[in-house]
Amino acid sequence: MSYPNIYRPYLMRIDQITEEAPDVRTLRLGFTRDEDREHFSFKAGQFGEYSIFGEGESTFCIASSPTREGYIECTFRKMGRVTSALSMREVGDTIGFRGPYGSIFPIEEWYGKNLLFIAGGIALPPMRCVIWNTLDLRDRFEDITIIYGARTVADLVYKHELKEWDERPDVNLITTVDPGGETEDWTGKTGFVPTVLEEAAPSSQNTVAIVCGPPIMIKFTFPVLEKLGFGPDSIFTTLENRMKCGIGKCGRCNVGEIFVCKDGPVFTYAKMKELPPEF
Amino acid sequence: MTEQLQQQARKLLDDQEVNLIIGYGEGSARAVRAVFVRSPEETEKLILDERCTANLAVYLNKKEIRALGKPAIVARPSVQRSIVQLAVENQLANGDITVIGIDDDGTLTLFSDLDKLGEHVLAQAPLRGDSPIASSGSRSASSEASSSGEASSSPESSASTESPHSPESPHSPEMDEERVRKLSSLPMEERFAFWMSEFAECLKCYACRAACPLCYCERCTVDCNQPQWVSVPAHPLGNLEWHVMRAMHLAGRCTECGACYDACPVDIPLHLLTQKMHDNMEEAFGTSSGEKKDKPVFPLNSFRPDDKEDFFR
Amino acid sequence: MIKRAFITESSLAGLIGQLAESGRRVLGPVRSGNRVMFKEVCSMEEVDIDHIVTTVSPKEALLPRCEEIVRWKNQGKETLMADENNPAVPTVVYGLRPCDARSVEALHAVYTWDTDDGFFLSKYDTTTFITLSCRHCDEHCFCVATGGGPGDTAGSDLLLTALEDGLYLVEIVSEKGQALANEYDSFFTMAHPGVMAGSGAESGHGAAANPGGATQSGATAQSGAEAPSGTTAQSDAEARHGTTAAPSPDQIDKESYLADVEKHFDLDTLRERLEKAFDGPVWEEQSLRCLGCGACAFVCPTCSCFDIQDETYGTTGQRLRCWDTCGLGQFTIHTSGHNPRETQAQRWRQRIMHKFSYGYNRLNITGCVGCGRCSRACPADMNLAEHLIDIAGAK
Ligand code: SF4
Ligand code: SF4
Ligand code: SF4
Ligand code: SF4
Ligand code: FES
Repeated sequence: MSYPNIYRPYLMRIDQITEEAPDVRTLRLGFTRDEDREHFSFKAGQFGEYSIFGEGESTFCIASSPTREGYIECTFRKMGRVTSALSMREVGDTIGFRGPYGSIFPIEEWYGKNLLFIAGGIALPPMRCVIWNTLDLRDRFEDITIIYGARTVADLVYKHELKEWDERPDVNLITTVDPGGETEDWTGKTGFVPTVLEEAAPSSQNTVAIVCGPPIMIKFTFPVLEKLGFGPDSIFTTLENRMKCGIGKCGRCNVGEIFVCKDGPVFTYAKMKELPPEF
Repeated sequence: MTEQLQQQARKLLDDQEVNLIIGYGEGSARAVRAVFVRSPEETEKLILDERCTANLAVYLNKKEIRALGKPAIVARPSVQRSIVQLAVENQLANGDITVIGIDDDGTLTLFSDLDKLGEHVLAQAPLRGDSPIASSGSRSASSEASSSGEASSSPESSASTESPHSPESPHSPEMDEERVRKLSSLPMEERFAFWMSEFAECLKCYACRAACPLCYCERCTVDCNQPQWVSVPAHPLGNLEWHVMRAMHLAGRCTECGACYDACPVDIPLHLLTQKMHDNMEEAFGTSSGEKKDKPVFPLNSFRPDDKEDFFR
Repeated sequence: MIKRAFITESSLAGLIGQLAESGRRVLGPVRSGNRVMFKEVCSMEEVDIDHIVTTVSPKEALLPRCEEIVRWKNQGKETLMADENNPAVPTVVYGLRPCDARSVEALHAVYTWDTDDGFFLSKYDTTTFITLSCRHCDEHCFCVATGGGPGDTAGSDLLLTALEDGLYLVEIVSEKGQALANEYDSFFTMAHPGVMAGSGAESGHGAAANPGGATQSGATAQSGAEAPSGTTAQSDAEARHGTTAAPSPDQIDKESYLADVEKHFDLDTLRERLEKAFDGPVWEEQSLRCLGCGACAFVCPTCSCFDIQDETYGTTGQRLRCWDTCGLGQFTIHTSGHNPRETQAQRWRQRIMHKFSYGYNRLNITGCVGCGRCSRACPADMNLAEHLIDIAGAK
């Protein structure tokens, strides 16, 4: 019997490159084969393995919305071997992608609710996917609030989109930078995300909170949300761990008996509380 | 001998001279294992007999052990040499550890000054692992060691059997020397074929690296991937690269304890490579590892403008 | 019921020879010095019989230490996918132990978990396991505690048990085993070639290929087994077979030929204890002497974790899957330098938990078959059975 090769990536062409922040870029990837494009579908929250042939694979979420069909986008920071090689690639080059893998944000369950997005630093990409997904279905949700913070103004990613969200009357965007990270013309807030959240004090009534950010930010944000009345089941987050296979085989990503690649990356705070502290 | 050691250990702990004793204790199936004694009562666990040959110096680099405080370490000659080499390489300083030296004749000497230990090592027999502690009346357990073989075979005589490496017959210095000599006398092609067939078995588990007291690098060359110096997979090329790299990095530093060989699950005699390198270094530069010199020389790490080789200029 | 037959030593040698000649890859334990490894063999003469288990497990038949999973070609700026050079060669693994065979089930569970791994499965589909049950064990074996045993049939296609005088009892465990027995039926026999004679007289009836015959004698097996085992005056063989006539395969009391492996701990108790042990001090206590060397995982038949590495040769590139292990500090380290499992105690806990708790809760498998290889390989004398007894026995 012959089996499909689950490790063989799609060949993707880089159609567009956006510089987001120092060492941070977004690639728009198009399928090189029509049948791949037609077969492919994903949901908000899922991730994939992006590869530079000869260097290896790297794990990022899909940062574009599933409502925008025909391409996917990823945003990454140049850090290791693969991301360094990725940032050398130019428009027109081919790279590999396999996925989508992992769990999803249950967007359909959120219809009719208020959404509160809280993101920090380079962790906006998984959030951006959901934000655009919900904005593209804007009438199904009530209020949408986005709180986004980064270390410095330069570290804010998706600047053009932040502007777009800021200008929309149906989105309440709050941006902030860490103390000392502001520029002279900075009009947003100054302060850490959890503090800014506490000040803004959004209502937890009929609201789900979606939190993505560095572990330290997450750690201090959850208690604030709980104080504001959010139940652990209405707080969602994504978890990152070192991954290789993405499909529950290589044994690298587990936190206790939970495999981040299969059971995650999207978890509720309620689920997170059950996990041993090994992430 | 064991009693003397236990007394000494107890005193060190009682006096709060050290926080723990790294020593040998009874293991499973007649094996001995490393024990980490943290209270005077626990010193009863310490043993000392001819089975105690594992190189405990490797634990001095371990983060988890360091976290326990200042150690005293039971040090047979090969451990002493490793410690001196670590001191030469600035990995250990006076005051970091206390050494409970146990020489081949069973003499116990305490060292807190590593220079003194260096002098002591220099005065001892040259390199090549530990011989079983010489009979000094206190070797009560010696007959037990050979119980699985013929009752008459002493560790020395087992040196001549062809499969030297088993729990019953730890490799001996004589045996290793003999093997190095034999290998060196082979024509190059045969030598290469021998090593290639041995390396073919390598699993790239890096147990050899983990067991070596001198492989203390925070980030080993094989773990660096920008660039990827050494091919990661355990295929013939990757294995050859790894073993060449390993031997080169230990050239003249290896103190010939054989811990790497003991650790290798597939019995590759890779310690012979570093031993041969050691001989070469001694020949070429007159240096020997595990010896405290006024001015340590690392022939492969140092550069002098008057070097006769010009390829790296 | 599992069908049974006999095979004599010389027929077995003939079978192995023929299997090798048939173009199959025959892997058997081969000794070189102190190391016994599964190697391709052509004849029984190459096979070592004098070991408890091989140094490294036979999992390499299904999961090579490094194998190609993606291949590509570079043409100028363009990358083209190519067919992987990783074929599944029809293979017979001979001489593995019941624990080894059992481990295949654990590997299978991982490699079919929701997504089928074709490289594993294609090898699994084309591999036949001819297992040798254990007449001897050593202090490191604890197969019984993990649910197996020295005569366990799980995972085997054929299980051979050495009786006396060069005769083996054959158990045909699976369809694959049956197919092989059918193809080479002349090597098997239903008739005992003489209880004490050991002449190895061949009958060559091909009885094993005849399911009817096997079922029929199954009926007599019942009475044979239940017959009073005779007086002390009877010969050993008579006592074992409960009859003086030459016994049929079904009349053989297999258990009496097997090693006596004690049950070191109770698996359910161990699991219960592990559920509550995550935060306990036991991990640090046990792992203090562990060097984090990884030898234990690399010799283990059930360890299934891997790394993925790219290599290029000229214009061709390959992505390779290589064995890896949670015991190494680098395993989980993030690019940022953050490491979720920083200490050896955490890694040791992961190893035990993965094998005895997580794997069971998620896949209904025990990721350890008690072969004891890890304990034998460990340079620091980390004795797995001892540690498990500790945990299972703890309050
Ligand atoms: S290379 Fe081997 S013999 Fe040399 S010091 Fe290291 S462990 Fe000992
Ligand atoms: S211990 Fe042996 S198998 Fe493991 S990497 Fe070293 S030489 Fe290879
Ligand atoms: S963990 Fe140890 S005893 Fe268990 S299967 Fe693996 S090697 Fe064998
Ligand atoms: S073989 Fe022993 S020392 Fe090495 S990682 Fe395993 S338990 Fe630790
Ligand atoms: S990434 Fe391989 S198991 Fe999760």
